[in-house]
Amino acid sequence: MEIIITQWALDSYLDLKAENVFTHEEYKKVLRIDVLRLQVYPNDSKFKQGKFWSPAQDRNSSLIANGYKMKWHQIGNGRVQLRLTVGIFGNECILCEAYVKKDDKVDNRKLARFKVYLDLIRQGSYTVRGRLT
Amino acid sequence: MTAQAQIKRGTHKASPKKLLFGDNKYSTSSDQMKLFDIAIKMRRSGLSEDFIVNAVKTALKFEGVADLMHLWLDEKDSKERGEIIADIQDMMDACSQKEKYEEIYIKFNDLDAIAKNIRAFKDSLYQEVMKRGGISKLAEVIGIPQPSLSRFFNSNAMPRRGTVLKIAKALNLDEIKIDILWSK
Repeated sequence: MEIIITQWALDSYLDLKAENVFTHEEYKKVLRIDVLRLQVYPNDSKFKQGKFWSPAQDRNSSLIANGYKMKWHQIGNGRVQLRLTVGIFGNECILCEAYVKKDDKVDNRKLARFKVYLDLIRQGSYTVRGRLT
Repeated sequence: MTAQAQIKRGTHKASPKKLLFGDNKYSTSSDQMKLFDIAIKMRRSGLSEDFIVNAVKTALKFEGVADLMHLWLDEKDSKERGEIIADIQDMMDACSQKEKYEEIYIKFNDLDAIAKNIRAFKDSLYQEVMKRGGISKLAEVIGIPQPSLSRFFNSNAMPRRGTVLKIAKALNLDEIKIDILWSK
């Protein structure tokens, strides 16, 4: 699978980094390594762990087509819950937005945004900023 | 059982009414009426007509924006409502893109320098805004809701060129003041 970095994903990385949500060490040794697992999606045992990977659902608990969440618990000094929304289309894993899940309200907002991102990807209206290799 | 047989037995459920506007699965006439109701409540809360009309137009095409409008309606906390408004503005901006772009790829090792460049640019622009009456006044002049402008200045995301130009025009800034290497 190819891992695509969108402008949305890059912007969210810049924001989280500025807020010191995770350390450089955590990015290199935990986050990046987990995201790279997408290269062999779904053939990595971590994708079977609901605490790490799950289909995304909207505020009404309806499944969001093509949408998934990668999850980390207790990240950074603030020991926060970090989420990364990922769209899977054919052989492409498209990284959409990372965020701190402070509460369900934030989660609902971010998942509504995620729905928009997925629609924009489907209609081919988005910006690619790189590929994770 | 076929639909015809259901009708005969009186168990047939009418399918949702045909779409009035938009083309997403959300857009039944009753869903659209709910959006119009929310729009009226948004107007009463003081949001600008331009913002609301654009929000509704976008929501009719993008279910996620309709979800955000519903979240706004259900939310009582004013700060959280502001975040939702900023999200809606973000999504309206995102939905204005009509093509796929492959921008310059950024190396991981360059990210810190880029982040500093963006921060410095936003801080300097913010100073100009404060000299000329502050965020609330700017929001009024350029028609972008205040929570959205606050997010623009507080976040470290790349600034949108369109937003920078609107601000520059409103503040009558020269090109040097709005020169930034990294934008979207």
